[in-house]
Amino acid sequence: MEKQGQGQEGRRGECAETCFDLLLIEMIHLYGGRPTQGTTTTTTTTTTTTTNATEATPKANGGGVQERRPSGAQERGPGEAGAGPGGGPGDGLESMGFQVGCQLGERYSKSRASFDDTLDIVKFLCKDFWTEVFRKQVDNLKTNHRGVFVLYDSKFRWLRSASAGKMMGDNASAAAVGAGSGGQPGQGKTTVGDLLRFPCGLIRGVLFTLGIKAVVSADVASSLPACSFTVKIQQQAK
Amino acid sequence: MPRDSTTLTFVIVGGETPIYECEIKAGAKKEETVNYLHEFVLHASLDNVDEAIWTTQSCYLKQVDRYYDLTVSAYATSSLVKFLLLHDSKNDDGIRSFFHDIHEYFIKIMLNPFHTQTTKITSKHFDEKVKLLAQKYLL
Repeated sequence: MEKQGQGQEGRRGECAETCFDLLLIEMIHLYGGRPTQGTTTTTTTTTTTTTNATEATPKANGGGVQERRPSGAQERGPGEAGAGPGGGPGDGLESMGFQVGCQLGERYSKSRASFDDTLDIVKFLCKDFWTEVFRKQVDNLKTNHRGVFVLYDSKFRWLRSASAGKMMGDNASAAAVGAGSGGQPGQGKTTVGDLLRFPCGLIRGVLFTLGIKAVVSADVASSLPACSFTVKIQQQAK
Repeated sequence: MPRDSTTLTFVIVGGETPIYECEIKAGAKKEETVNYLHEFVLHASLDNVDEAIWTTQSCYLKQVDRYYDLTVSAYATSSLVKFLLLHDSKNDDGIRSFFHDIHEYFIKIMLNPFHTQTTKITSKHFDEKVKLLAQKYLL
């Protein structure tokens, strides 16, 4: 399976999707860990993460995978982890998603300049942006017309190899990531919540670049490839 | 004022401040500083650009302002970064293509994670590309 990416001078580059999955898992292990996890690379204090970043980024970028996102995004991540909102664990991932979202938002909204209103922007996110990034559209969009949107995707691409052992969110249990991950069991278990942090940041970034400040959270329904993103709009620039 | 050759000034405004300015002359010599009058006219036209954004769904805003024989054409991206071009000749299609191609290069610059909407663009490569495109479409 291959994903399309933009190469130099507008030539579309391609990257195997499994490489992308591996990269995502490495990123989560490196930048998204909770303080109680065992590995030394998942600390969240600013001083240590910046030094870890310089050693760790060659590993995270392993194999020279150059896909859609700029390679500099990985280096920026830990530096932002302390400066990000709140400064809690996993904020690095969200901030990285935010930055990538800003840039992708600029790129994919190239053909249209102005949007009619917030609903129009969210529709653009659900249709055009989702198609470009995840190769399908969002299945269901709900709104309460008062600034809260729920985007429901019944088969979220980045969760397609995740299997839930038990419900995610507990310290004691974790959703193991299935075939193709190459992760070692028992060392820094990845939960589904971690996998969804980056997409939350992505959505927040796209909305920000189009003029909407929002807070995004993700939720997994009982059937695993399905997930929903809740977008709460705080303030509109337009 | 009599003009021997067409003078063009191109400014990119991100947020509130200009992040890139370039004076393009038909001759080969490079101009380091931007003509003050041109800068003034361009900045004064920003209000008109803001108004024009609401009237159309496309990025290209055509002519937004005039000052005697100088016209200002504008182009706005969806993140509200404005490209302004001051010119004294009429060249609608050329200007539209110019803006379109500049947008491509601009996106490439913006992919730099160290760049924000307000960082000045200092890349020589971008500068050369702007001049090349100007030669191709506007002169």
